[in-house]
Amino acid sequence: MRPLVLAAFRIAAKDLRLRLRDRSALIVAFFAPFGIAMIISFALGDISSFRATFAVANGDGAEFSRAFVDGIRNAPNLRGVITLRDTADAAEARSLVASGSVGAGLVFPAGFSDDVRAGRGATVTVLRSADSPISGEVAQALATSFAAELGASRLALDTAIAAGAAGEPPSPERVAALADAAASTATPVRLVDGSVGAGPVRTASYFAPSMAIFFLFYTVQFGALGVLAERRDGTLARLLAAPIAREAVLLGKALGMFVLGLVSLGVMIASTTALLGASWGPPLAVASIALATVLAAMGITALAATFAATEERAAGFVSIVALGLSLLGGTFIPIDQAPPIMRTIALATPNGIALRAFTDLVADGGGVVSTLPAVTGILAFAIGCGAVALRRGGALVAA
Amino acid sequence: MSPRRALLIAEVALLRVARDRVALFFIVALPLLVTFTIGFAIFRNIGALPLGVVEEDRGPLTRELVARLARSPVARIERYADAEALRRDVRHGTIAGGVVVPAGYDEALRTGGSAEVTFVLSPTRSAPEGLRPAVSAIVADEAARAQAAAFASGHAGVGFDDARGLVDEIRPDARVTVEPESVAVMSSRAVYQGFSYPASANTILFIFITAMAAAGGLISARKLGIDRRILATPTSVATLVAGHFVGRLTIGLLQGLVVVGAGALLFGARYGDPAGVAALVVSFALVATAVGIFLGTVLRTPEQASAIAPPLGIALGMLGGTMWPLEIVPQAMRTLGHVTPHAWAMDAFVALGRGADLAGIAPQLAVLGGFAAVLLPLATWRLRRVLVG
Repeated sequence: MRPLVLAAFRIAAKDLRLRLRDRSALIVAFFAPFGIAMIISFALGDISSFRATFAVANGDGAEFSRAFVDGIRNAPNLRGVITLRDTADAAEARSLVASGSVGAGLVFPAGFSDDVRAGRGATVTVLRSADSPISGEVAQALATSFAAELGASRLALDTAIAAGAAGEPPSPERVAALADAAASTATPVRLVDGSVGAGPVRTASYFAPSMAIFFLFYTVQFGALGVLAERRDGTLARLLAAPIAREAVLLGKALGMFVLGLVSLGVMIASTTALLGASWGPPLAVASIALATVLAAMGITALAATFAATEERAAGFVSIVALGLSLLGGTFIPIDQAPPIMRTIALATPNGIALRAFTDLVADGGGVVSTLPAVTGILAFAIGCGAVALRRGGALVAA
Repeated sequence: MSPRRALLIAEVALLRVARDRVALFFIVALPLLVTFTIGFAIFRNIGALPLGVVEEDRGPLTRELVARLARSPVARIERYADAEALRRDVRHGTIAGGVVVPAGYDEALRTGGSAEVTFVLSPTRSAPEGLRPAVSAIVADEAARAQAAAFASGHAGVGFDDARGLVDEIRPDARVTVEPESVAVMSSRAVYQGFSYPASANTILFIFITAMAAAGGLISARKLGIDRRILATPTSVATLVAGHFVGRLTIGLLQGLVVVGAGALLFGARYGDPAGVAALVVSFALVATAVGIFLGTVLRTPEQASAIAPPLGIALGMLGGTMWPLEIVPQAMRTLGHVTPHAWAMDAFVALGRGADLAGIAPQLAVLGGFAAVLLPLATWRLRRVLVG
């Protein structure tokens, strides 16, 4: 093996040993991304774990309000999700909502069913509190679909009568027959929830790569910071005085970080798949995006570090850049309400490209070829930033 | 113990931070930047979210449905040529959700058949919105009108379109309506809208992260022998400990003051009763300072501190509801979240936002006081030990 490569390997191996002994690298590379992805998955991931209790004040107690209440109690998809609690009157329901004992309330006024039957129009009141926006939304949605269904048969009857189906003037017998027929019609449209891809994409499959990429910047920063630390401690000068090419030193530093970054991503992929149920997509395609992303993170952190004279300062710069990119790229915050220009920028950040390339793989599958545009985009950052960092860093090392 | 010396030691800590522009960025600029971005992106206006629409059907009923979606105050529609592109953009987070009207929608509605309208919601949106209920209500109403028209056309022998015209002439007061009623907990102001929530959340989040990051400084001072030299002068351990505490606490308090103040001045955030806000920030800063100093006594190197502080701060912040309201997480996560002081502080901020005064947040302040009562002596004891030992 050529001496340059051999020396680089030795330096990389020494750097890795140092980093692993110093537990800080373990935290940033392995525990933090997994832990935070886990918290996000548990907190935001499982919508089906939503549970709520609604207060019901049924001042009516007749057929239509009972049908609604029984419908919720017996619907298989709501069992264990929505619990109903009967109250004496609207005031009691209101105070339960106000105190937070229930998430929302449903109030049927006296004579509700009579009014519906007579076509006089009727109102269901949904009691909502700012404390429980989701419960309020769910109660409102349930009541709205119920009202639409109830109203639909009434509307169908009224329209048919207006169109002359019951004769002119309408005969009571034909109206009654029409009412029966109208009551048995079903809604022609259902709103179904669709997936964001050809296959289902779980929340974990989004937050796992998002956190892995975010912490990757902090993981590979140790390479550039290490150079600064060695310069401070004087070991860099000694290293350069040894019969090793300068390129070998830089190559070794880079190689060490490349390996640490890849292992960090690999562990993230394995652990989130096994423990959080995340999917990552076809291995080869995932690997190609992962490789490009590690290189880009190395180039960017190295470039940021060249603007600093000390290790602490460099760590600060890297952190600013990593956080800035994550804000721009939509790592922590949805970007859909941002102005169009910001949405375009999000899709042009290296972390933004990588994150979306990973989720595209999960959603639509695809092989290495389908990742080429994303990989090219990410590599452009790696090469661009890396080249500038090398030029600037070369001068720093020599100085 | 000499108060003058202790203040001097605290002053040095403050000066060091004031002269460090990178540190100032993290302490002051970053919280405001994050507040702005979140307030702008999520909480600014829950009114109009971008909603993608694919019309696989070209009929008039489809056009009518889409036109009604477009008029809805909660959605701002963007048209897509195919469902693939729509799914991709929802997935990429550039639109909040999407609606796909299937081919054959019109035909199904005219002939009494059935159709499935697909609703696609972004998995990345962490704040709840009324998008789905709003779409659901519009779809249900359109369905009801078509259902009525198909029924009437079948029974009266008139054309579907004529019957559909009749539907719109029917008195709207004959319908069953759903009336939302806001039950005011204390005041009717929505706490989760605007910049008030992100501003208070980021105050809490960053006071804690800053306090934990300060552990690094504490370790450096010990490793570089600064503490040892100070103790070699006629300065007692108690004075040095007090100096460290006062310095960190002052940084936290100033940070709270600046972030809360700038949130109000720049973004118009409103927090509620000033006395309550002040008491809250002070008690939370006390807890954060104790945690930071404790961390500074158990970690060994500044590198460890800078590696642990941000992720741990983010993790605790997420658990405690500073990244999203705990209202939207499952009950178990909400209970777990209240292990952190953050959750109690955010509960208090929410209560203040709804109009509670100082007395109204007494329970939360008591819990924060409890945290401080346990952590402050613990941190003091540890710090004394590492300084003397």
